[in-house]
Amino acid sequence: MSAPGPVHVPHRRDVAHEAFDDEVILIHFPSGKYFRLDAPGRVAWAAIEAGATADDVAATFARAFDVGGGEAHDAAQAFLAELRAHGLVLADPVAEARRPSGAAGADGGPAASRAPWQRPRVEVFTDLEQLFLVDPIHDVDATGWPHAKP
Amino acid sequence: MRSPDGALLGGPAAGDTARLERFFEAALAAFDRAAAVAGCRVERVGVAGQVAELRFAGPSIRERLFPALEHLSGPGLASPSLTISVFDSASTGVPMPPPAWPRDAVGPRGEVAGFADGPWRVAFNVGSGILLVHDRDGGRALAWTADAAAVPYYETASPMRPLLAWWLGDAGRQVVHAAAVGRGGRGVLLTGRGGSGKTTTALLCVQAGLAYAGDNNLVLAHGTPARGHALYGSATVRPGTLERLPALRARLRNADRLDEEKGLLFVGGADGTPRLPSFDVAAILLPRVVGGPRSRLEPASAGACFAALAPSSVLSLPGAREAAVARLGAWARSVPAHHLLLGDDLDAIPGLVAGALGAAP
Repeated sequence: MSAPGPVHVPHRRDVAHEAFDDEVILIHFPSGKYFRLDAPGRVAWAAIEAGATADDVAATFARAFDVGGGEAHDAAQAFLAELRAHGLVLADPVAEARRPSGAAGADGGPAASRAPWQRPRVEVFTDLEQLFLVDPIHDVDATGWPHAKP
Repeated sequence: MRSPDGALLGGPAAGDTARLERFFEAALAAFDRAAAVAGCRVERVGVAGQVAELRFAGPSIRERLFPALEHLSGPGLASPSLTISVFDSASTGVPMPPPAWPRDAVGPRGEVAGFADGPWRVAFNVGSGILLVHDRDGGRALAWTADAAAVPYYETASPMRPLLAWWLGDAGRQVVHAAAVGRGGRGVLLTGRGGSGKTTTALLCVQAGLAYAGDNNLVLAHGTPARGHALYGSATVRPGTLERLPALRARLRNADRLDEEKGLLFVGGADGTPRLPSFDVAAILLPRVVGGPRSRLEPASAGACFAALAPSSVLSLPGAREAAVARLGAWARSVPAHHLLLGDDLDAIPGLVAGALGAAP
């Protein structure tokens, strides 16, 4: 039996989020970027909030959408990698060690009750980055007060 | 030479509260000396049910930081929950004690590491040169800059914004990045990224007779419906807005510096524009310039509303985090939202806004 892989949790120190009916908006404070997750991403994010392996995320996809286990798992792996790359989630190795393998199955319910499948999409918004491009390294005057470099 | 945490050896360490308290008392003593030299002018302002007292040492700093707040002053305001002592060193000749934190503790939002959300909050915006210190438990604050004459136009437009946001946030109010106009106690927020058309839309509506609450910063408070409150009586306009509304040029305070600055003007009061000090929030509009012959409204999801309102509201403020995001999420869910797609028919825009307001244009 293969290892379940790391448990992913929101990077709570750096990220705030709000979930709506079919989307999640995430704000990443260090970079000034914000993100939109679509309906599959919202389903996955709900699992991540509780701590989720790629298997867990794949299982939530399979429960909510008309998707097979192989595609669900590939999509979960890719989605978690993208979230990690943006600094939105942390892979928790301690939690990995505590969790049993295959904690959540990837079996879906009857296909008729599930929504059409599409891979989750992470939209990235960078229009506020300029708020963070101010160089915080600055000159300091004789009394110790910083001032912007000319 | 630095210690592992980045502090200059022998200098202050990040988050040293005792040192900050000593700094604050020394800074207030410096304010008292500045006020003795240059004179002290005391003003009270009321916003969203909260009252602050501002004590300006000398006229120079008052001229830079009070005009945008003057519309909030008036007789009969209650006892203040915050007293802000404001001075600059150049016009008073009184120096400020050295900072009580290491030089590299200042982050890109002006936040000072170690003083983000405890009993003391400190922000130093290197660009504007404004230091803000908030003693939350004591209801005291300090605003200082080295030279009032060097205060940039954007600070004059939105003075002491982080400090006012901290103070109002402690009372459950939220400073948001939005414009607002309205009539008869009802208003609409206009929110979106810079250049989306907030200010142009707001000023077009003012020209058509709606009352003005602000072009860039508003205060929201919980209620059913949500309540909006004006914060600054200013507007800053891009060249494109001046091309569309050329009559504004005569009212600019910095018409000689438009090659480097957005145009700054004060709206309401002396210019005859009706003000909208407080209002029920009837709708949140998300303007976007699309061009074409016809401007129009289209429904917007709560998520789209939140994405337009929240990131720019919280990312630009030091220390604002989870509580602010949760408040903004609640408003995005509870207030009707529409995309306001701005075409070339400028004359039609006030009518669309008035329609969202539930009022005749």
